[in-house]
Amino acid sequence: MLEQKLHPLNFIILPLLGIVAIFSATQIIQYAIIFIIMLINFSLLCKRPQLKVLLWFNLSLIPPLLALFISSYLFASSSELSNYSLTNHTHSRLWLSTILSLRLYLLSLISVGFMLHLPQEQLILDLIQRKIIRVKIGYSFLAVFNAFAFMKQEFTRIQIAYKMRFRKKWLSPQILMPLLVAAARYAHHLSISMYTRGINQDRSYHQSIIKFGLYDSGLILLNCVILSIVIFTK
Amino acid sequence: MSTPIYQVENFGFHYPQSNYNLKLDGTFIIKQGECVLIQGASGSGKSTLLAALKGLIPHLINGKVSGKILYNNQDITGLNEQQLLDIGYLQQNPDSQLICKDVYSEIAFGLENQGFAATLINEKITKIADDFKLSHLLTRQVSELSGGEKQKINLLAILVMQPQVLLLDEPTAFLDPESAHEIIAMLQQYIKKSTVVIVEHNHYYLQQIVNKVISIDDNGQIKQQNTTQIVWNQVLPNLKSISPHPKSILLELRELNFSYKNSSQLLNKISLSVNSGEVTAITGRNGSGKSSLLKLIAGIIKTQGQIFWKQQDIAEINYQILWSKLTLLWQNPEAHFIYNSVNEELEYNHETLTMFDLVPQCEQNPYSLSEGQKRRLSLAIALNLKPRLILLDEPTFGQDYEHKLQLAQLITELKNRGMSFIMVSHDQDFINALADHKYHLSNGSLKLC
Repeated sequence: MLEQKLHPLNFIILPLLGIVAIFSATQIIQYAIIFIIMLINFSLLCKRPQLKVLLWFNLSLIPPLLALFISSYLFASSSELSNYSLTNHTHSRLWLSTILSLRLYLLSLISVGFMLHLPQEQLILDLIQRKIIRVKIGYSFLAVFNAFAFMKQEFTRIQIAYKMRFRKKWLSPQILMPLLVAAARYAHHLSISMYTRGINQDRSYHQSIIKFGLYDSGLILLNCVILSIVIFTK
Repeated sequence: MSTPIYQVENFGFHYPQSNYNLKLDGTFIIKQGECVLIQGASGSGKSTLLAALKGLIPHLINGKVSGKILYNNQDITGLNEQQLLDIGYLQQNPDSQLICKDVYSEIAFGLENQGFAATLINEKITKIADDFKLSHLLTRQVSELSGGEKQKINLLAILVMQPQVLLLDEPTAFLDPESAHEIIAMLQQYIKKSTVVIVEHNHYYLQQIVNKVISIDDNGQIKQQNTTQIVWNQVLPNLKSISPHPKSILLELRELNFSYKNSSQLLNKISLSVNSGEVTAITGRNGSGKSSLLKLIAGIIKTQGQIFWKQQDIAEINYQILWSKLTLLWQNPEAHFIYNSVNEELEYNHETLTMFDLVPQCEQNPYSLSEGQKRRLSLAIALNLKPRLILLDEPTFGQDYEHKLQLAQLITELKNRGMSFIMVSHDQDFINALADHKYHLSNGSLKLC
């Protein structure tokens, strides 16, 4: 399968190319092509997309997009409108508002879509093995991903204790103290666990890393070429 | 004659910026192949001593050390990290020791640090998992494991490194009795080859494996004891009494069903009735739904027509009114601390301070109290709210015998004043001493024991 051969860094490089292209695009057709290219990239990289989360994210974008559309329609300056040599002012305003809203939508969707599916663990392990980040720092990050579930549980307990004690439905910053203590204890135990198992810089690894190879370079090059054609073709 | 592994002489430790000063008076030797239990009251310095035996002091935990600890005739403070890998160290909380996302990587972590090749790592992991019959867990994610399974993986991750000595800091503290027995069975299998030092309050699990006991008393005096001198199963006295107050039904659960979204049925037709001035105990394995049941009763998770407070559906009772009548205490007392002093936590209520024997600590920060004092303070905070029913989640967690007895006496006293308790606990001894009604939660059903 191709997604197993592709390097996790593609999750960062490809959307970055897409974002640069979006900032350079000026026409709706260009945005549409960039979107299709990014969609193809996404489906190549991602085995199981979180469609439900993406759908909710799309819905959450409606209010800011509407706000942007209305404000740019109402308050666009004449200098901005002069860039669009359309028949009348109303059409120019509509055009500008649509372009801006589309840009915001694509930027948000591409950033969140790729970041949401970023294989953090694989990426960090890769960076550790390439000695780009230190072993202690890298494994601390990995452990933090595990800690989320524990901290969520602890937060729920503290939140319940607070609400019942003060008979309030709302929380106060006071609950930060027990939460901080729980987090500090967790971090302390974790550091002991790493230390007692001999964490060090010169270690071996049981799994081999995916090499940044021909497929990755090819995909990035192809993206660069197609996006350049899209942007520079008027 | 077996060679001494550890020689400890008058060990002392002072944590920086703390009033806590550990001073152990005495000498002891741990020989190769021994299984040693270190016992003492909460706060007597057992865990600190164990950390020092691992060499965490002063390498990872800074402070002022006095006395001497020799490991294989070498001062332990002078050993480097690689030499210290000979000593395995298991902590009590199964969750906070896990580093990797999947079980295989977790076990491989220590071997990778020792620089073994991938093929050798695979061989070692396969062998040890087979030996301990845990191969089925290797492909799982750590987040999917139960508390007992997590602790087994933590132990396996240490054993795979083949340490000469194994140090265990309350390894069964977070586990239900079945999981605790399974952990001890794993140790029993391993113990033939190695030296083991255990700090544990739950002595009764250890009788089979321990062959030497070191006791630390309240004054820091170290005493070596024979295993025959130890009361392995310290049983609390029977404190059950009939409350002098007239009984009335406080809480009723009528065929309560519950499941989390996209999960199978957790609780199935649970019926329970709690009277005033009664202690009800619920047991069950980790993950059987005990904590969810407490949340349902407390109205944290909403229900409709299944839980009744004095014949009124709790869904119809305003949350402020409901929470003035019942409250919940988590197993970690620190979850209830908000203020900077005991006095503030108890709103300067001298009567409560006296009742819970917290007057000498009234100016202290709650987080700096001993485990027993923390538990008493959390109960005192709950009592300050004057509830009719207190829900207790693992009330004896981290408590030694003396503190358990104190807690049991306090609960009895409150019960005699007409207060009711529902406690979820693994501690059979505590339950037997206190509970008027005992239930077991298994496969979603609540059965009277």
